[in-house]
Amino acid sequence: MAITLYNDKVARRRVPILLSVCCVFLIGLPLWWKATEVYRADLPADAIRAWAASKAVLRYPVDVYIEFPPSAGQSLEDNGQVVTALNEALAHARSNVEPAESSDAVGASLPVRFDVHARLLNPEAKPPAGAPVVRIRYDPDLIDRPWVHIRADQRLDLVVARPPAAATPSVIGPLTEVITRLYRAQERFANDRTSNGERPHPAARRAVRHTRDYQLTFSLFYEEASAAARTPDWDIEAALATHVRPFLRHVAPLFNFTLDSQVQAFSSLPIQPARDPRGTDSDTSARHTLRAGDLPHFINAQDWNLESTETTRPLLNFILYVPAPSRTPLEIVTADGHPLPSNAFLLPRWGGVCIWNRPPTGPPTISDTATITTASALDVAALHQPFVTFVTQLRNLLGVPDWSREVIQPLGQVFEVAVESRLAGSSLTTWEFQLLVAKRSTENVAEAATTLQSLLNLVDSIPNMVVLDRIESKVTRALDHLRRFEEELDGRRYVTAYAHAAEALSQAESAFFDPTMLALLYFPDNHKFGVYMPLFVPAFLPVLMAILKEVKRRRNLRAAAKTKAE
Amino acid sequence: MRSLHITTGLLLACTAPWVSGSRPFPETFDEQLLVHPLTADKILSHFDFQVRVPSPALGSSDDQHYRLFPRLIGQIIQKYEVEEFHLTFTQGHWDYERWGYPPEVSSAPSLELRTRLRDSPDLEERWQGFNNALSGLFCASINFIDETTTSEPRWSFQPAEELRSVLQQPTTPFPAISPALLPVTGANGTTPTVLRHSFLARENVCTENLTPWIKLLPCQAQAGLAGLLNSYRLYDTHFHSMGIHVTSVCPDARCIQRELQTRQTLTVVSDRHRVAYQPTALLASLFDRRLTGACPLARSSRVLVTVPETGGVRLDTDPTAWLPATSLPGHRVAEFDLYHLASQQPHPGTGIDLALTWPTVDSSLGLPAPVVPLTVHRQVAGHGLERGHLLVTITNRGDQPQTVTYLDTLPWYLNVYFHTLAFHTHSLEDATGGSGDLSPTAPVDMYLQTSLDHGRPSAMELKLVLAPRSRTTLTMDFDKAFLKYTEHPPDANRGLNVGSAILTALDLPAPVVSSCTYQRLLLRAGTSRTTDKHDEEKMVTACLTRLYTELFLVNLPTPDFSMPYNVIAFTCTVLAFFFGSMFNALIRGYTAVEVEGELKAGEPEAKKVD
Repeated sequence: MAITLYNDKVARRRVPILLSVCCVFLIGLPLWWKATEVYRADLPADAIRAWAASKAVLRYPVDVYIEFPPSAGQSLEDNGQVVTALNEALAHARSNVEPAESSDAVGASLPVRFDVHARLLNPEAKPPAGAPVVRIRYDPDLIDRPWVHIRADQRLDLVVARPPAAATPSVIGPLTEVITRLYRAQERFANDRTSNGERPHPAARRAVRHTRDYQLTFSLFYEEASAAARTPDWDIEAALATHVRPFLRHVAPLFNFTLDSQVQAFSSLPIQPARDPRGTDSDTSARHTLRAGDLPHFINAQDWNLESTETTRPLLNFILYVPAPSRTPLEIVTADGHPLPSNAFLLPRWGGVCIWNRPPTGPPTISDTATITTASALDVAALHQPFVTFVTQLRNLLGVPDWSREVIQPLGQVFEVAVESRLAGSSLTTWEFQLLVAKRSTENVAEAATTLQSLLNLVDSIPNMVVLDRIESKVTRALDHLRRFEEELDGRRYVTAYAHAAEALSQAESAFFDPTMLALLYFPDNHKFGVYMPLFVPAFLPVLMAILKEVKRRRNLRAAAKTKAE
Repeated sequence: MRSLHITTGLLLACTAPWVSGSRPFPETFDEQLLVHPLTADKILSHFDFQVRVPSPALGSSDDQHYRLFPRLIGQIIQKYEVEEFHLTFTQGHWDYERWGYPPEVSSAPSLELRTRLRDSPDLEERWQGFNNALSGLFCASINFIDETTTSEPRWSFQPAEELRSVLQQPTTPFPAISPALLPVTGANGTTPTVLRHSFLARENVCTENLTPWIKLLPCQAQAGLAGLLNSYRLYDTHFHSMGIHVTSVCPDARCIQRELQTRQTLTVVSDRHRVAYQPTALLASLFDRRLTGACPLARSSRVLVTVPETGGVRLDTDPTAWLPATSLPGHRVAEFDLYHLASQQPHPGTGIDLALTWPTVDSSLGLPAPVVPLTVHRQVAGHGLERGHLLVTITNRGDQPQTVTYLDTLPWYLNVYFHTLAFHTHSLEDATGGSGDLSPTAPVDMYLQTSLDHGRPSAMELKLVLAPRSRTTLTMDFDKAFLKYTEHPPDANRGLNVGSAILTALDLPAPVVSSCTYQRLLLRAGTSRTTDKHDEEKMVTACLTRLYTELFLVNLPTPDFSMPYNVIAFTCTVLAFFFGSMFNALIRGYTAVEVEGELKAGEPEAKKVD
């Protein structure tokens, strides 16, 4: 009992000391927290989520202009009524298919929907550049199905058998049918579906990753240098100017290209083509064949100089391969042994290869020797076929729609379809260009939205990551471009809208792939323990002991007071 | 432009192996190999592959067409706006006293990169990009080249004509630190350019660098002289230097249309005993490969073999031609045209070889000793980790005074005191050396750049006139700086390599076999058919010799790398101890306790109470 009396002074002092130590600790805690915190800029998370939430489907508005024949003897009001009725019919057709489409869209990142709106084209006015025009023609003699003529420009002729004097609405049925089918087919393509509705569309697997800039490298590879020494040069400038540049000019609003070419002698194949003796015509000449299974191994990545110093833009390779004289002709054959007429193949997302067989140099079988000398050199004429193939391959690699397969086939189920011959050529029609713009823009928007959401998820999942201000500004800019994409789309300025979509994607990606977007690795937890433990454990042990003793003392005091009271 | 192509093409058509072709072919490729007995048992082999192309033939900036010129190099220099670059990888040190001067002007030990870039605001970015691209291309650590290993010399790397005019300038008064003396202009005189010279003093050269180098050749290693490049043999040698030099040159005196030129050189010094030399198969014993013929794309494909006039070395294969007697002092030079040899083969495809017979295997030959008037050595002296002392010895054994430039780039962690720079000159004639002091050689001109900590190196460029038959010693003190914890290399206790100093001299007089002599020899062989005399004249007037000193290794104060954690743990313990003691002193009371009952002896009188 006497001992507690002695200690009263110390005990009274002890509580404030303990409290002040705890106070210092409590004041220090937020300071420490603040000092060791990583900087995280405030990302516009709500705006991103709101934007993503508001988009179940991406609506892509399209105005289709209806042009009535001027000689039909109808007033403008009549035609206006037809267009109004047509719009209702289109909306009806759309609502019929919509549930199926949306249920189908599960798993798609952001399905595209073409909102088709019909407009009346005044007879004097010219349609806006690039806008689709459906021109109605009357053919009283037509007894069969209605007839569709797709032109290389933006026009599409619909020939119906209505006599000019009959009632107007009879044209609405075929019009609705043709527009709905046309845009449903395009929608499927834009959503990476085949005409059977399967996903993904094989074209999507072939197409290279989409960016604004591409590098095209055209390589001439000789298997043997003796061949190269005979024709050391190829007329690449002329071939590019004749075949490739016209196509590139068409897609210039969407893509930038840099071109280069190279010639390499001694490019041996990593595979051995099968020797196939040609039985009948002559026993000396044999053809050498490659089957589909050999083609993936055709590229000798080790010895052929195909690398590029370009790091940012995707590289597309086009290889013209000239086999050695001892291995001429080298042919790609189908499963049943027939040579492929193009003698070329496409490597998905990588490039294209075309094999060029030197014409036989023996005694000329063709009377005109001049043809032989020109053909054994790689001049423009000799390069014609390979470069037509290369342009086709480039179209595939860039994901340019194959209009005849995608659109004409579904139309052909109902209508007689005629296609203007230029559609089949290497150039790009307005229809294809518009569909390409639509597909690429919607892809970009969908991808930008996904990237932004992934960025948010990334930031949320790694708390130990610095988020710099420049990330925030990039995200804001990406959102801004997405907003302006929609504005431009409402104004039907598709190419400008595409530019905004592409910019939104590039901003979002540069934010996501920013090198600073990494968890900090300098301070792993075990290092932190290594630093904090030697200080805090020895320092706080006495404090803890003192607190325990104080609690014990108080409890003893209380117990003593109780016994005293009893 | 097109008409120029045609004229060039017509000119080449006489010699080119292809005679047909729809268009003239403006690009040329020449390959040469020089085999030269250096000493009784050392054989020098020097490969020289050269591609020349009129620069507009590559097309515009975003549309380039390559035929013989390596596409990857073309893309790099186009993208990063590089006018000229020289990259050499070297293993081993060239023994100047015994071997004479090397055939290639640039043969710095380890890795040397010299780049001339167009000057523009984004220069740093382009330079870094260029280094990274080269690094990827050659599988080397070129991406580690940064401002700490790079200097911008004023004189040493000027083209030979300009260096001549610089060196022949009248003596200027001694400036303390001279500003930029020369307006650094581009090769075409209009666009300003920046010349950067970098060393990576610790780069190991290996097959992984050789393979991409070979891939740049038009025939790769499939045909021609490059077929001899057997990496097992090339790296099993005393000296191995591989380089690529991309320059733009004037093809004629008017210089209307410049030419891009890629020169790939490979210099090897092999030991005759080590390769088990067989007299009948010179190439097979040196490279263990068979030469099948010329590269079909090459305009010319030649092997030059030098035969010493004394010593009894005998050439048993009939050469295509003998070069003029004055080509290489003390030697006769035989020229073999591979196109010619291949056509003369009795059994095509068996391989071409030459027979060069040494008299006996072991006797030391009476080969002419190399005339080496200029030598330079650099050593570090001093002891301890704090201070050091630099000692450079430049010897001029010639009878003429020599004007040279000396460039020394020292990394920032060697804190050089330029005021301690001192010159001593001794005459070589006095054998005893005691009283042979000449008046010290003072630099005619100098350019000094102080280092920045953790940044640029110090650079010292001197213009010196070396007295005949003299030895000039240059000394300078330096302090060793502390490196930051993270700046140390992984094996910090090994020390840090410091790159060579460079002595550049204009062409040395005739009996000296210098790089110029070799260059002229290769060129003479190359131009003997094309009647293109201008190149030869240009080479005769513009040529220089460059000497590289030995590398040195500097030992810096190296910390114990576990120290930070030790310090943290120690400090924390002290703090915790202090806090604990103070805290205990505050919350515990020490009072005297009166103990009831008797007090036993030895028991403490005071007792701690809680």
